[in-house]
Amino acid sequence: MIGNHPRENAENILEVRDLVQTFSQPYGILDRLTGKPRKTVHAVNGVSFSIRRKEVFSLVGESGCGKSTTARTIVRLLEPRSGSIVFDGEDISAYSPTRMMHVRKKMQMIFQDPYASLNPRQRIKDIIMEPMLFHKTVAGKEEAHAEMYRLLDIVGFRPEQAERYPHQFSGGQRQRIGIARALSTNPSFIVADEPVSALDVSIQAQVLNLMMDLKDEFSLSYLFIAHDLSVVRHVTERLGIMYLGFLVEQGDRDVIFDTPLHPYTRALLAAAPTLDRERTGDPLQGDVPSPIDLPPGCPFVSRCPRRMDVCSRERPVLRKIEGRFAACHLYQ
Amino acid sequence: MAELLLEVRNLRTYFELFRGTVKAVDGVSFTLEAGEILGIVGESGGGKSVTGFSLLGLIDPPGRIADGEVIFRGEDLLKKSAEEMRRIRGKEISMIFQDPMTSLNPLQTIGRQLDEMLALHTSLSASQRRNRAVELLTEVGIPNPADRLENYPHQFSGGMRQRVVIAIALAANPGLIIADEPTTALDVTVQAQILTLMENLVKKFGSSLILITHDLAVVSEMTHRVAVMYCGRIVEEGPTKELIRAPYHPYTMGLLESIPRMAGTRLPRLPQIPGMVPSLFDLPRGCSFEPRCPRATARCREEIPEMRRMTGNRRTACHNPQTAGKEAADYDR
Repeated sequence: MIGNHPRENAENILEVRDLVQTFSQPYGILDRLTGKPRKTVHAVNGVSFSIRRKEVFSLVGESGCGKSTTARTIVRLLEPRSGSIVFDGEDISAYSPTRMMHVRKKMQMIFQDPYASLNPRQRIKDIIMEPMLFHKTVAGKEEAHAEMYRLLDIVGFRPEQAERYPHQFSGGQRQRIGIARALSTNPSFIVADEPVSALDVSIQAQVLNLMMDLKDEFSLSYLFIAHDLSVVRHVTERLGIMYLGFLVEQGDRDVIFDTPLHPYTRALLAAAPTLDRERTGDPLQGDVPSPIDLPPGCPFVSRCPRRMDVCSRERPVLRKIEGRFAACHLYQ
Repeated sequence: MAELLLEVRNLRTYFELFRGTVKAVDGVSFTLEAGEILGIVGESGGGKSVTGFSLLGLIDPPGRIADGEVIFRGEDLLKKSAEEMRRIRGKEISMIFQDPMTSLNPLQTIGRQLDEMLALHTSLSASQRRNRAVELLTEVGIPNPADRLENYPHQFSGGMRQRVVIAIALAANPGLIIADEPTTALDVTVQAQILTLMENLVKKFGSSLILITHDLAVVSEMTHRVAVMYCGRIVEEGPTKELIRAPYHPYTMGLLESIPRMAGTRLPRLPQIPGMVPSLFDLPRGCSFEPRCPRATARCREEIPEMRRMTGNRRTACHNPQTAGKEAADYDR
């Protein structure tokens, strides 16, 4: 589906190729009796990208565009339907859960909701030590304790706070606990799924700064999933824009933000509220179509202000154009 | 000067809880002219939503409005009976909430919900009401409005649902609409649609709008004037453009700086406000922002700053306000 594959490259921590993810709609006995057709949600449709070592790569898009599903499939919380996921030189797309175990300590995840992602009945110290002990990244309990206190210090907690439970912390603090837990197995790659979107603005800046400091300190690569474009512009080096499960444009941060080509990227950037400019032009009309019946042509055709005849017939592929990749018939 | 629609004086809404009294709104005063869009902005716990609810008398125990006046079209709403307030809500003042799914009744068609509003607050006949309902759905940009009247809320997308909520809010042509985070649950492209729609409709219907949000960027694009709240008080208020260009209060300044920019130079680190919002059970004795404030002095620890008039139509409650324009210009914008 995608024309230009980056060659497999030791500089890349992650290479994703033609990743496909689908979900079956519930199909009950009544549906079978009434002869209803089976329905499939096409969540991710042939997505390819790579992330270099010590790089931040972001996937952006609106709800339902498949960015979180892509992330969850990469860390193998979901089985990929097809496509390959090469992590640190290993193709992990078909790994069994047991084989995934040794990979997983190298790839950790930070979740959106700091209230739902910490066990309310575990103390902070146990939340942070559990992954180390499970993955045996430490020799024993004593080393785990020392490491836990070190991590808590790094993310800005006092040692005595280790004895507390998650409910005793604010949202921003919990997110920092989630970050310490992600770091506990000494990973090289972190998937952060909307890590700051549940936080207040002033706290958001604190957590973003922490994540960027840690990136340098621990030589981390990030896959950053977000819908807030100003946050993405701040943290990321490269990004991909997703729509209806397709990557529609991909490239370096400044190229995309300064000269977006794909009509969806343009609309997305124009719609984002900012402090520094007036909103211009008409907002994009309509809603995202259903991922159950994908349009045969371009996924964006129903809302595109510049659609042509070919767009509803033929699906555009990602092609290199003006220093980035874009999937749009305007530029083919 | 345009006609004064609303004047809030020294509003205090307290919640009496087991742990103590939470002063969620503590001496808030502001005015709103006819046709004006006012933004109330701040982070969670700032008291912006409680302010909105207080205007409509929607405070339930253990909360109570401890003091203040809400003068709407010359009458104090806080002195009205529950029955009188029921007639005012929806007809004179209506409210739009963040989550359209919880403000619509899932068991009734939207036609019926629009009709209920029109039956309560207008003297139209049944067939006139139906026509009006179709008109309203057309106004808010819902395709095939006559057919969609028969649909239930779950048959609409999030953005379309919020359009329905706006149609209901506009049904009785109220003088004032209070919108509490109306687009926070929506995607950016849909948010842009809804904001543009609200802006146009407010203009067309001649209503005033109070937009309550955490998003300074939305405020900057939508509102004429903005009030910044922190720990139950307004810390700064003024015309939106001026306030965002050169804020007086260090909290406003900090909020503005901590938002990454969409264009221009990228800062390697985001300027951040240190620490976090203090517990409302245990507020500092002086200025609530003092523990996090880079400009704090001994006086700030002791004495709560009073709101005072600055240049033009601007006010701030700060002992050491920024010199307008100076520091602000140092940051990339």
